[in-house]
Amino acid sequence: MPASLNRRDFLKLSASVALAGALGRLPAGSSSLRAAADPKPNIIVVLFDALSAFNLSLYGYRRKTSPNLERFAERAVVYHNHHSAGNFTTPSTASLFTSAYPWTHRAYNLSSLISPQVEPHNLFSMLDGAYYQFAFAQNTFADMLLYQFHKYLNRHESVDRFSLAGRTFYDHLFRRDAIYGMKSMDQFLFKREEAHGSLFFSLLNDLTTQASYQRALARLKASYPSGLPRLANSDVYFDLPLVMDGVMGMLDALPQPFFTYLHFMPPHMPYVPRREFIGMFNDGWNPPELKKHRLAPGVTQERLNSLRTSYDEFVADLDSQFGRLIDHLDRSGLLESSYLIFTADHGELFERGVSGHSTPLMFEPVIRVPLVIHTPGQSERVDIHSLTSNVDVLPTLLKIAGVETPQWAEGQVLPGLGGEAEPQRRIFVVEAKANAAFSQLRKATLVLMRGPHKLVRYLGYKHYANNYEYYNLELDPSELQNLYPDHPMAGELQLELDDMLAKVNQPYS
Amino acid sequence: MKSIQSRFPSRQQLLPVFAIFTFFGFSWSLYRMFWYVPSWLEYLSVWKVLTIVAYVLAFALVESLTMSGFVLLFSLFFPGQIFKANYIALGSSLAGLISLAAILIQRKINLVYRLTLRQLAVYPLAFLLGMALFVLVLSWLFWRFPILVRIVNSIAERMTLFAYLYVSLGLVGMLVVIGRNLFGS
Repeated sequence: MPASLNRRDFLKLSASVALAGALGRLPAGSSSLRAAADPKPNIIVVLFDALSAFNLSLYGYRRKTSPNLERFAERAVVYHNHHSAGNFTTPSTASLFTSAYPWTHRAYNLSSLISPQVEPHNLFSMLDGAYYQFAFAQNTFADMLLYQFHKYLNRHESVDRFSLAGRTFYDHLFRRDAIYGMKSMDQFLFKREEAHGSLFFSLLNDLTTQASYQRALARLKASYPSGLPRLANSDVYFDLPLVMDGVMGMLDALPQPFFTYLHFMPPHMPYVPRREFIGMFNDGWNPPELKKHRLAPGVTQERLNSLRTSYDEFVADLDSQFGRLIDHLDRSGLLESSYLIFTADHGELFERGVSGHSTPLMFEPVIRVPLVIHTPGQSERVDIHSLTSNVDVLPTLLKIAGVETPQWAEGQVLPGLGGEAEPQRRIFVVEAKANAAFSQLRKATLVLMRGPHKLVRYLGYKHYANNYEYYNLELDPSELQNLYPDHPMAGELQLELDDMLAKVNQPYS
Repeated sequence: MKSIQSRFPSRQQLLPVFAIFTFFGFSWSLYRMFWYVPSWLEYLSVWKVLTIVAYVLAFALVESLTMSGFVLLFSLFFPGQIFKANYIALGSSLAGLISLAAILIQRKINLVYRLTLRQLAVYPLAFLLGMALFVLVLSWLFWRFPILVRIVNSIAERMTLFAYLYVSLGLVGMLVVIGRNLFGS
């Protein structure tokens, strides 16, 4: 919480006071009356990190991982074919914020930033002034992108808020230069899991963090027998129910109308569900072994199955917490007056010799993510099966806010919320973490999807350079039969993708 | 107060110990940074990379100063004729030992994440006791073989060359960090 009012807060407060005086009936602190004065609905984006649509019972997964999400979906628009524009946090979150594909915003390396050309075109700048803007991300990479838009945020909660053990440095010591504070301190001098950049203090930090972690674990061992959840790439441990409690409290206190972006770490690795979820999927199910991909590290099927089970348990755990959030919003009346967008930044893969999402592969479980949107007052479920991308979120939220889709947006308004379902719509997914940000794409995986057709191009990988794969997702949803180059659509999509690649490479030639 | 002050080494004695810490602290940070710079350059401009370097150098300076302060504090637990008399030799050796131990731990850093509460209490204590033992053994060796004192002193004094270089870089880094945090958005 900022210690003092900034200029933006001051202006908003002044305007509210003036409005209260004019109406003569607006008591301070009455959020419902404030909402009545400005009937614009709130917008709440709830994003869970690394949550694959494939592992949700909402979308037909055989394990009952998401009963609360299913309950929520009964009064929401459910998107069945929604894809992220990238396969890890940085590119996909950047696409969500900017409605630009990774080859446009260029934030496709592990902890890279949105390019200066694209940075001004973002969700927060477009909603600036119309909403009280609040953001909280439990992922340092997403938080770094939020710092690019920090000036538009009325409130930006630190990534280690609700930490049980461990701290980040950048947003406490270097809040005015957080991006470089993070890159130097948290991602280098004190970087976890490899020799740190700092020789001495980092060890002291490790020892004290480990001690506080062990103390917290001793306290919560009954709930977390396999360890406490932790922010990826960071030494911050948390308890999801406590985080959810905190977030609920924050939402209750926000001035309305608000736009809020909430980015929760689970079910990202490490998969550490609470006790009541451990073992709930010991059902003897062993997914069939799929042929190892040439670019896969070759994780054994037994290990993949075990990881998948832990992941599913963790998903069920977060689903229970999401259920609590929904119930709370329902009770407080916020759900009635808000758009609530449930989504993920990318998925997770447990097949073909790959676990997780640090992979050049782009099979559906790693890029197809949930998207469920509740609109104010909605009481019926609506199902949308057409192809959508997370670059569509920005135009849709702008439409909700009454703003036209800007020309620079690469996405379009989602069907079901004012947009049209286009059968011939094409979307892209880009993975290029090993490629320099501001040069031609030479090492990347590029996906073009149109209807049920999916073409994947692997560019510049050793032993797998310049390979294409084509799948028809309608006939082969598990992507088992690569029909390239025989299928007539493969050539057509290839021309289209190659043409697009030439276009995005052109400014760097 | 006077008796405590009388146990403090002179500035000339402190500098070589500080030099050992700057040598190891800065060299380690720069060595680790060489692994990162190519990936930073993939998506950051040279100026932005230099900003990160400034943070790292400023931090290494603070770290070296603090570690020198720690050795100074540690020395106060020993009688003056043991530590203060040979402050450069003993302090520099201790700084070298701490630095080498830190490098070894850094290379096996994942072990730290497996330590239990009991181990977390015992190992640092054991390390402090080991340091005390090291000082006692070393001071006996220095008394028995005075040539060792001359060797260690000459090495430590040569290290001050690095200190002058690294401290200058650290100060520049410090100015950049302060400037960015005072005048940043």
